Amino acid sequence: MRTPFTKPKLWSLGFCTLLIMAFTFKDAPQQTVAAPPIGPSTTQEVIDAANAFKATLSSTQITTCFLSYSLSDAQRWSNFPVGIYNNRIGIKMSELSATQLAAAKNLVKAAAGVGVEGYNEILAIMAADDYLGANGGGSSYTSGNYYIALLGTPALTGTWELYFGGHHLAFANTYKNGALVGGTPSFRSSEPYTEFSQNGSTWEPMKEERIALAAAISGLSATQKTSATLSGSYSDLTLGPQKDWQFPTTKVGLKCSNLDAAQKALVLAAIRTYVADVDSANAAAIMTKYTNDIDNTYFGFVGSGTMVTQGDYVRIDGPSVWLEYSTQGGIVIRTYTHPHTVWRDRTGDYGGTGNPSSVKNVDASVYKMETAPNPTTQQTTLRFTLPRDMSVSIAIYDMTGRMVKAVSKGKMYSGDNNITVDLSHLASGVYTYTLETENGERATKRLVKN
Amino acid sequence: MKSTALFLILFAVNALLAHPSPNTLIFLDIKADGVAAELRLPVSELGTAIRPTAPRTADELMGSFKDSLRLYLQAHITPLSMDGQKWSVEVGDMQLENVSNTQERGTLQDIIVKLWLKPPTGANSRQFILNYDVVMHQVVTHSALVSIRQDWETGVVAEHPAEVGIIAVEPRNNQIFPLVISLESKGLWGGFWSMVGLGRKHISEGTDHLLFLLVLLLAAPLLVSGKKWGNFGGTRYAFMRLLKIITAFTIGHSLTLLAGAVGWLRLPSQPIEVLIAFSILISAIHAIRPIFPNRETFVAAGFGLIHGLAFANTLSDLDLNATAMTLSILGFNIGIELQQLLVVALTVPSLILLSQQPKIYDIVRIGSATLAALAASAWIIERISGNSNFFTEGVESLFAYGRWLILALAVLAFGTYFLNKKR
Repeated sequence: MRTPFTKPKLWSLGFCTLLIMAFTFKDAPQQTVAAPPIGPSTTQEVIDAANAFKATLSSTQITTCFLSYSLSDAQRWSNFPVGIYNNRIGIKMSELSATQLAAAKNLVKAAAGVGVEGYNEILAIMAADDYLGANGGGSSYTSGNYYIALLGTPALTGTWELYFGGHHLAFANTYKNGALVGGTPSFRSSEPYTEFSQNGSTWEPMKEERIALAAAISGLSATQKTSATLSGSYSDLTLGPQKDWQFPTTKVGLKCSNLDAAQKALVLAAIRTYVADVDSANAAAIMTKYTNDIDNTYFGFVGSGTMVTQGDYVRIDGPSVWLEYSTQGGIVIRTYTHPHTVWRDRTGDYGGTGNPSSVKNVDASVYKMETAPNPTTQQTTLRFTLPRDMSVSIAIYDMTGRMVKAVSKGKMYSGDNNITVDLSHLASGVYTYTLETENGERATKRLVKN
Repeated sequence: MKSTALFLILFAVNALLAHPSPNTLIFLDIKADGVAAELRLPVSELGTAIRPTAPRTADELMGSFKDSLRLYLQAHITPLSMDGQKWSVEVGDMQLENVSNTQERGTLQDIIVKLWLKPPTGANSRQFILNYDVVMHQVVTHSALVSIRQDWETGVVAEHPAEVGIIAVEPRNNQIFPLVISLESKGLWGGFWSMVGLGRKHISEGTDHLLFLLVLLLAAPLLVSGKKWGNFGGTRYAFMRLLKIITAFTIGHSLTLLAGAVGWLRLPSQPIEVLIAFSILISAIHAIRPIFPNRETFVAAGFGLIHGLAFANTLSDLDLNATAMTLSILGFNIGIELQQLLVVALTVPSLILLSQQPKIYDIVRIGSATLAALAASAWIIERISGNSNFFTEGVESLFAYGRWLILALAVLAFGTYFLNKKR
């Protein structure tokens, strides 16, 4: 919203200067503490490429492409073509002139890795979209439907993100005070998974990932395979687009401390096929961290282990790293399966923006939470009072913090609410009745089962 | 009004576009004594859930495994009252449907299941906790999108389902939360008012009913001279003719709305929709050249009977009890009347003023009647063939600007009237 322009008074200018100074000094010590692991030279290359790209754009294009930094915009990526998900941000490749397109690609190249990963993989994935467009998918696919945006001002200070993505690709390189603080979420896929010819070359995107993951699985002994096998079936990713900051509290699969050195190396090699999608200096730093974490990282899978059969799924879940690879049926090229894969980081996604690790705990009296009867043997009625209509979720946890009963989730009306639950299946002991509201508040009340 | 079939097609396409991965869709129709639910289960996911190692096929699920599918569904759907009492779940008709759609989705197969969820005696059918883990107990990436498709008390009807929530495995703790369905009780009055609103919406969004009425009014202020339309017949003449036509149309559609809604008369909707388009064509021709001069009242009453049958189908689809049905017929008809009167009040002054300037009015009358005739012809083709065409889509989008068209007509009428007076 625009406010009517009035001439600024001298005192307000002075006040603003003071404010700016206050914030500058407030930030200054943090800058030295968070010394970038990689010299800002890599970041400077990306900044320079971003500015060079900006210089080719018209003022209208700049307005579309250079946005202010916000998590809600950063989250607008998808694994669907524009015909289904038409909510991406920034400027479309098809709307750029040849010079502008070259500058855009140069920017992506500066941020992405080298070799078969990174930029070359991006070209391969975009070629796959051209292939889908030409082989029955139509204009909703094609590499012209890839978007580029810069969220925040590319500089050695402050927070900003390079956003790039289309149907089967999305990354969110986030830079804070000159350092890459997150190369995730990073979504990479390809349909088909097999080799194909397009634009005068042959391509096979995601081949390295697929082979590395299959090798990590086949490197396991029979008993290790059994303990690495996950329960349930997976027809897609669990943490795909718009599933941000929902990492499981409990890791599943086989803990990598149970692997020998060669097996660990196979898991790390698979991880490297994703980490190498950022520039090599940053990739090396991230790999060091993930390597140090390997004994506390879990490896789990479902399916044939070849990663080409529908339903094949792998998850690598560490203190930081999160990798998922899921094989589903072909959509356009129906004779072959195709994967969806995502690399996330438990703390580094979007450079940490939006990490909800701190839910606000409030007193049970705020929502007048009561249970009756308490203690109970069979049923008890959970009571609570809401100040207004809102979405709430209610669950019962045991003393170790494990959820033992998901009671309900949905919109509830303001005023008194009662929900009767059956607790007969629970062991005797102390539990907590927990209410979480849509505004991120959590209140708990004790409950005893006899 | 688009035909019901068209609405369903459009809705299905929208639903697919909005939710492109193979999710389950759950539609709930809230009734006084229970909830009728429709599940649309994608075969690929359901088959995997039932046998992960070698997914069951559509043939298996609809053939020898049909009975075990019923038991499976019953085991995985448990609605509870807020006080913890179990509802009964009856699994009714099951059908296989091919959702063939486009490049983006490929072809999907859905199994459509009808369920009847019944609360224990005395319990409210508007508030319950839906414990549901069909498919997702095994396929942890699956989710079910739950919508209220029909709720008389709050005026939700099939054409505009309201999404109420998603049931899915929470990645954080690997648990499936039951969904709370908690609908505000608005009682009989709420239902009545929602029907008044529905009646109004029916006219304001029902391009064809409105077009029929407007075309019928076009020639009303004019006298017949030989085989042509002549001069303005005077304000009193025009007003009385307009009043007669509107009253006759109202009596006509009220009669068949009543007969149709209570079930005395039930006709398939396709021929009715074709007849409605035909009625527009006839009155458009009449507005160009009088083909039934001075019999407009009878024609309006006759076509009113047809339009009423279309209104009735909206209500009879709701499947209501006697009290609710009586209130609905009353409320719906009042809503239709209110909206028609509004449109008439907004356009009739313009028509009376414009028709006093024969040259301009001839252009307006013949021009708009020709357009209406074209639209009607396009509708007839669409409704017989079942496929929308370029022209009908254009008319629909043009009528989205209906209020501006009425305003433009008024500006033209008043502008030219005062310019003429000045001269």
